[in-house]
Amino acid sequence: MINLRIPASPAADDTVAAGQNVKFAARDVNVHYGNKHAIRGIDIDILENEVVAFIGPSGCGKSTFLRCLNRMNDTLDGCKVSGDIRLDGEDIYSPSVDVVHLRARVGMVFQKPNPFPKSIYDNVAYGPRIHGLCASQDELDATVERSLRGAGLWNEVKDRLADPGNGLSGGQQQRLCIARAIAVEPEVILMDEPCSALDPIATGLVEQLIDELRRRYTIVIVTHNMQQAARVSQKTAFFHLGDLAEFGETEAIFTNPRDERTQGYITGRYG
Amino acid sequence: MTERPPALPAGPAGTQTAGAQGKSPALTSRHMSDASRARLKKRYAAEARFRFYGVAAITLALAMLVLLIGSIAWRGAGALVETWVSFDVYVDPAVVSADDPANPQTNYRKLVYEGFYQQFTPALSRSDQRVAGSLISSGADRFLRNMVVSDPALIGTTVRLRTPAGDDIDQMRKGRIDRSLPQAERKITDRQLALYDQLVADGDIGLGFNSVLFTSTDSNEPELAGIFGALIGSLMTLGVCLVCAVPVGVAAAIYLEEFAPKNRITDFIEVNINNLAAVPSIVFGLLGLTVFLQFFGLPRSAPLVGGLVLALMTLPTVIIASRAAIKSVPPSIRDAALGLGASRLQAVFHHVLPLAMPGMLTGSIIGMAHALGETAPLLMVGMVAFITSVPSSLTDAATILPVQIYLWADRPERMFIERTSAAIMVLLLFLVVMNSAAILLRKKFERRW
Amino acid sequence: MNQEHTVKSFDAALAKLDRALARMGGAVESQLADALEALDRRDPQLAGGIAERDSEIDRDEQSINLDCVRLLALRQPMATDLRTIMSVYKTTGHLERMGDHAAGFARRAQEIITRPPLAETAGVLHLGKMAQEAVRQALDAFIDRDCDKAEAVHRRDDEVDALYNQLFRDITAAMSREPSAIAVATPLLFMAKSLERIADQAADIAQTVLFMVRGEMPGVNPVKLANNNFSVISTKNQPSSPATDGVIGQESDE
Repeated sequence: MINLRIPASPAADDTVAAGQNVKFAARDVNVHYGNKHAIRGIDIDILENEVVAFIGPSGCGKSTFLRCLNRMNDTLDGCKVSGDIRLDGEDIYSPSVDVVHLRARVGMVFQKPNPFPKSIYDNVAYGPRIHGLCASQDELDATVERSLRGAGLWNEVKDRLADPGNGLSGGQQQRLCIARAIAVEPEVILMDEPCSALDPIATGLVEQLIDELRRRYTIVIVTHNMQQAARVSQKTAFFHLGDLAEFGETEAIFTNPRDERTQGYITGRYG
Repeated sequence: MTERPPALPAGPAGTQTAGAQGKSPALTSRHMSDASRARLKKRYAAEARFRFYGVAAITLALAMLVLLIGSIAWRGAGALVETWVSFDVYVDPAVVSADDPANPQTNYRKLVYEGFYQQFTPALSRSDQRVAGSLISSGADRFLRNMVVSDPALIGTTVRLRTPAGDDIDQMRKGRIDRSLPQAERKITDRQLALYDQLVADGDIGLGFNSVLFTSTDSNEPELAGIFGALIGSLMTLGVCLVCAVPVGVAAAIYLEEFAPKNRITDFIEVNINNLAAVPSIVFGLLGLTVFLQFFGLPRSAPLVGGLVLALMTLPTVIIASRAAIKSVPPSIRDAALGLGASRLQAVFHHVLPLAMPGMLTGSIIGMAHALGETAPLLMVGMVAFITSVPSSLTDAATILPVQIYLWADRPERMFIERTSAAIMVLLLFLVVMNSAAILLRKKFERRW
Repeated sequence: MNQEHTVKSFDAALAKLDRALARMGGAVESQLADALEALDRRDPQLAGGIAERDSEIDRDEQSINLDCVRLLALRQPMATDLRTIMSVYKTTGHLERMGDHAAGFARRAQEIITRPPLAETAGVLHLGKMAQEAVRQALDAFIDRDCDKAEAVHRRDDEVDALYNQLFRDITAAMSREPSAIAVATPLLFMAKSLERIADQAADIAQTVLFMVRGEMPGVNPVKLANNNFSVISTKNQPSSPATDGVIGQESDE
């Protein structure tokens, strides 16, 4: 593995296979929360139109790393990120990058469904509105409909768009949050344990949705449910105590992991 | 289980065989023993005791409240009515100039007393006239003046004047003076009593709604003293306080909660805000005296200064309540907005503030209600003054309700006692209205989400 | 993986699976040993009892396979656990086939020991010893998760095949030399074939062991290996070794 590591500096472009571009390239990313070294020297490449799952025990840093990708960690006090994270070759932590612009490109869906306490329509329309994506009301209506359809929610809510978003069921709320995220038309969607509060049916719907969204977006999903990681992702990264213990094809991780820690974790021998 | 006869033998033996099949007897018996039952009983007894304490405490508190409000209402109820005397007055064109009825030189007093003396038959002697004059309020001429000024056509006619009785007569009418006592031990002389009885016999004296209380300002004559001036002063002061404290407090809270970095300086500020909330209000008065009056040279006794002082005092409360309201907004909402690419400001103004609004409003209104009842800091900026005019601007001298209460409570005249209570009732009513508004607003805003 | 599962009963279930497999393997071994002994000692009674034991082995296979399915459904095993259970499932199949072959061998032995023996019988017995050894080693390799032993079994399979081919030629030669011997030689030919099949199944078990332990099928392009986060990118511009990315990863990792 060591002999294969490519240096961090050269532009990733010429090392990339035709067809799939590297969307996110991270090199030697470290995160400190105060005195705690939460993430240690993560190197990872996330390819375009790929679903990458982050798994690992609680506190292993997977969510922290996910939140580095759209700089949500900026909002936390005492959190320091170092290293190099590039989105399409551009360092997202460089001073010239506007974090608002970055988050428009890298959307996020959270663990707990968190619709705004507004109507379903306003929830979805909020992103396009603040970014000024739609010139007219008609265009906004169309965007809302497209997003809700994209999230597989349109048929369930089309007759009650004015109803409050938090009146929906948990699974519907989470899909509303996904609709809200895709209404901004991001390039990458980060999902932080999106199904942890959902029942298996709702989880299945979200997973199906992830599979469909993959065609248009790059998706990074943090999950505690290994079967879910196995079902939805093409690549899986196993985090352990702030290290990226193993990263590779999902198939390989779940049938024949190389790392003892991965092995122990996914077979339930984590001690 | 279903084949079991319906009536199970009570007691541990029966339960054990029914519920604990297959379990080791040691496990069940620990909770089926007599000692265990006794412990359970003790736990319930402790709970019952605690409930009783709670009910007792609430009962005591309610009793105190009822006692307080009851005593105020009992004493203040009398002030809602006042004894009025009615008699005919000839508005002599020789005395009142038709061109300028409002002229302060016009001797309305003469007209009033002449009219009042006519009331009595047989005609009063000169000494009796003086006694009769004490039956009506010394401010009776003001009522005539107001009548004529508002309708100059009355000049040259005879009008029926309705004027408050003197304060002792009022107390007499309300039964607060025992006429069976010897003359030396009561405030009313026998002669006054005789004239009073004559008025009563003629039906020219009676109780009526005390409009004076709500329409006039402070006066040395209790029957002429009202809370209108103090009410206006209070509203002005509170208005200034609201305009200064709420925007500043809310803005400070938003900055501290959402934007300020968490470091030693903000920690220091936070500690100091909490300390300020606990600073005795008189200290704010001293601060106001030094800063607003002496340094900036603002006028004494002005609602502007009073409002500013109260704003200083209310500010920590508003900040603390607003911060608590902002803190209680779930961070997931903030995350959702930021995750969509909203800027900090957008996240706060679009999502956090609307959710924190009920809490902020409640905090602000409670702070205002507190300010409404505050006296001590205003003493220091000169709002304890005998003001007989209604303030017309923020820099006019004014007084406020609690100060008015404080002043009246100090007066020796008996009639001021009931006026004090009446003023307290008005103040309490105001507080109740404000607190109800807080609850209503909160309900309204909460229902929107 | 010497660590225990967090859920202890999973460990117990896996251990039970191993034990059941060892017991079934033992039954097959003794069936084969008895069949060979019956031929060697020309004992028709011993040979007659063997075929009946086959149904017992079939039952074993079914019960172990049911256990495997249950574990798959209830525990959703991953990685080594998944490979272990799949390997057990597969190995019971091999063992069951071995049992069938041993029973067939015994039936034919019973038939030919009533007739005059053929010189090639010794060769068949020798082949039997080799098959027996292969089965024993394959089962040991399984129980001990021993790749070296498994690889040895795999290698020795060529020797077994060579000996079988030799025997095939010898027996057919004997048949053409002496047509009266055909009645004995034909069953003997099938018996040799059975032994060769048994050794073959043992080699398959050995291969299963290699998969179980290493996670790769020997001779099959390995599943793209984990920890190749950079190899995905970097090997693409190394045209000299396009197919070896997995191997490189494996070597650097072990």
